[in-house]
Amino acid sequence: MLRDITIGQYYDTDSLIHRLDPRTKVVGTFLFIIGLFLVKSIFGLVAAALSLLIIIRITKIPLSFILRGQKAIAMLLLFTVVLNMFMVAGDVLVAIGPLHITFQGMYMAVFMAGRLVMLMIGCSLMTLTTTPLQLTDALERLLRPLKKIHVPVHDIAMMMSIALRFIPILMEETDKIMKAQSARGADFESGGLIQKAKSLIPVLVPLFISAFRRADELATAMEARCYRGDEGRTKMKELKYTVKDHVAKLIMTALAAGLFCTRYLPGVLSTIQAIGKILGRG
Amino acid sequence: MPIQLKDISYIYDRGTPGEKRALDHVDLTFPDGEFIGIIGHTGSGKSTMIQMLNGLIRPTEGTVILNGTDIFKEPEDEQVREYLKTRFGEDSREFLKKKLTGKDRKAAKAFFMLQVRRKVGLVFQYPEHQLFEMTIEKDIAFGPGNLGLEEDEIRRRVLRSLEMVGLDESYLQKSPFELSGGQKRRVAIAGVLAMEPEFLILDEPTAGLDPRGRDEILGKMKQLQKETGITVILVSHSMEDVANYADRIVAMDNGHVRYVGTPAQVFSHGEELKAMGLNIPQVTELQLQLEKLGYVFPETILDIPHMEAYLMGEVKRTC
Amino acid sequence: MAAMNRNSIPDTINEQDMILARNLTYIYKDEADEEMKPEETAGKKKEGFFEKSEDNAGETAGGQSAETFKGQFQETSGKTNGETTALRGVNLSISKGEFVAVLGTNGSGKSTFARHINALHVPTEGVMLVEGMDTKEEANVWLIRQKAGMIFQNPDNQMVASIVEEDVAFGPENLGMEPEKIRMNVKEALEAVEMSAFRNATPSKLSGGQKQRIAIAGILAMRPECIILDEPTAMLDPRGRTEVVKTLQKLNQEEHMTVVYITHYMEEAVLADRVVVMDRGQVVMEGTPREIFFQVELMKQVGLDVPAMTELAWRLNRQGMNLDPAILTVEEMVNALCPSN
Repeated sequence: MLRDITIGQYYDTDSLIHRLDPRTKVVGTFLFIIGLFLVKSIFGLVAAALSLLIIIRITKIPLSFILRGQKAIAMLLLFTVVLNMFMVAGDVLVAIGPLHITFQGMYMAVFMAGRLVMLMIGCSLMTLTTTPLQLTDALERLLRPLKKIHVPVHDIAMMMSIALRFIPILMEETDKIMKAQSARGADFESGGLIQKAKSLIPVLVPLFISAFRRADELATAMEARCYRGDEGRTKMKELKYTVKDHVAKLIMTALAAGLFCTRYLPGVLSTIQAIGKILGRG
Repeated sequence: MPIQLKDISYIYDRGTPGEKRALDHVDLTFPDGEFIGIIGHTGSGKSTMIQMLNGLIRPTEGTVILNGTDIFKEPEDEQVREYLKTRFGEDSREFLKKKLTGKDRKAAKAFFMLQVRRKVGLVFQYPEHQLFEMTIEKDIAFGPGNLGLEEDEIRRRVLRSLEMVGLDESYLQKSPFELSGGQKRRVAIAGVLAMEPEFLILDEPTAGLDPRGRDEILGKMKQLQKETGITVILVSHSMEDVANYADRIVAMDNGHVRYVGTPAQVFSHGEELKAMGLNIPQVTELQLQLEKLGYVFPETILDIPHMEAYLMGEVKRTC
Repeated sequence: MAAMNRNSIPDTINEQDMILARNLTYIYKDEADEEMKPEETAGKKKEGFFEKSEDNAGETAGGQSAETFKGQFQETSGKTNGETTALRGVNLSISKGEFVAVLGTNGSGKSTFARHINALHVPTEGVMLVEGMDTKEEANVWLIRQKAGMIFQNPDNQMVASIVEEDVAFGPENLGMEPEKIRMNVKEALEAVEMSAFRNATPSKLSGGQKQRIAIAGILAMRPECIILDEPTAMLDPRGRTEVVKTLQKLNQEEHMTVVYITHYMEEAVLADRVVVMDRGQVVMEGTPREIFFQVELMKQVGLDVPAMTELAWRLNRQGMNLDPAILTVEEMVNALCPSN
């Protein structure tokens, strides 16, 4: 029952994008998101969608797989659409009782939904092409400047990677404890909310104890393997930017800039139109 | 009444590339009152099988029959009514209403499953990791409490099961977390015994214990089986333990039951067991080696005292 | 060497000594963390992991304070003023290249002793030297831990990374080795435990025996002189146990690795060069497996078993047979019964 939760899924196709430095992917995703938020017109949205499609093609991950992964935001999406459709004032298209669907509302709904979906796809592309471990590595390196203001960047990254290591173990353990308590007649299904919450005590207490026991043993084992924070520590796999990465970052910067420029596109178009009209008249 | 497994199969991750058949058409009967040992290496399907015996895992195919009824069968209308009658009383609205709701059926099913869990007690590996209450008394009382028993009855059961695992009343008010590893494990076993099961399944109850702790637990379980007539099902990696305590052994391999019989019968297949990645007791191994050299033993020997007796007299020596 | 001047240091230090314990005594104050492994007297840490856990447990279980949990041990382990003596004057030396098995029941102090070798515990009295370095000297600690690596019981709770290769690299990374050197050490360590094929696997896909071999590789990659294993097979199935023991034998024979192997499986101890039996914080017997195991009665007194064949020989001799009392294996028994063969 708990195994359905997947955190940071990784889809290995060994594509060009998979092989990029994880930092490039983090920065690239960030640039794409900025681009998305700078987009003001439907043209820009289409441009963003097209570039996203091209990137998906390069990752070789089936589009259907990515779309299936977006089910989680379906409710949020529906909410956004409905809210925008009915709440935005403007030219009424359909009126259902006191509710009005306006043209502007429809436009906004489509626009917001498109932006949301693309945002999610962009982020999931990052996790689909990068292992969680690479991701923590990347964040550690990218956030390194924060160390100057005493942010424990290394410790945070270490905690994240240990969490990733222990999530599946603790899930399995939860499953086991639930089964063991069921064998003693525990009932996790029936009853109201309070009843259900109460029935979790026999699971949570052993789970906590186990988590702390594991933490304690792991800490001892790490100490025995000479771990003493990041001072004097090296890495087997040092992250290194290659030409590919610089090119990729350049492309993503250009994309963000391009998306930003699309907000002037209607203006530019009407200007051209106007100029054309003037010229035509002349 | 025995537990019967009829043509049981269990398939993991069906329809994915990782599909795996953990159990493959298993037919097996666990008769009552015996001490049954289950052997098989990791992945042989034994842990899936024991979880089926008390309804924690539902077989993909086949039926699990306890006291003559299929434990996974949807309850019949009369059974649901019977449940409503005992639960709410003969002239309650719940019992007298015409149409049964889905909720009634669900409640009845949960009730029947609880009866299965009561009759078939399952002690998982490292059971001490499931202790959670502040006192040993409360922890052992968790199971009987779930059965909805009276205070007095719960108290009686707590005392009785504590005694069965060889601990006395002075432990009642202690925290389970202040005990030694072996004691914690015994308290956890007492927690299942307090359900007063007819079958007690123990998954590697001696893992990680030293020889003394191991003998204490297995000795208590054997005594329990002899004195109360409860069926004990012991899953173990130690052939010596199984040979010394079990009346009957089930040897599993790759989702199949390969051998069922007395320890002497099963361990007479020494070579085949080794091919399955299992050992045989050292004494039995000695017998096999000696037989190759011409010794004649009248039966398969499993423990040191018997081997001693045979070597001191009756055995025909020819080498 | 600064350590040489300390009062209780023996005058003669044998060059061959990897590990030298003199009058090693360890007393710990009662702290909450015995909850973890009370029978093994693991009282060391002050970080308070367990205090926290118990607070949590206390709250969730109905709001009582953690005091009830902490009230604890005074009675069960029979000690005074909340102090427990886990080791009482242990004298032991282990030479380079030796394979030593340490036997003892739960609570005999064998785990506490193991933790002293790795400087996870420091002696309350007496001295512990690892390659001549005193574990009490703060400056020696990291070098000692590199030279004498330690493996624990639960394979899951000692793996840090989610990928085998990265986990093996953890130790060398902590030592600040060059990336190139780390890669080489990792590769060789994985080869030594025959797990090269799994270098990109995730630990959750491995069996218990394989995980313990990865843990051993993680130590090997630090290029130690000695490995200490604290009941590494207690949670494994027979197949996993064999895998781990074979790996250790190979390392000992081929690489001359010093192995200190803590176990309560007699069959595993039989394979050692020397067996040390501990009981209630003291070394009570010491010798080759043959010298130890034929003392059947003594072994039973300290709550341990002897190999089945040794017990059989002992019983047969009691009945008047005249067999070698130090028989350990089935083959030896067969040869003793049929000398012609």
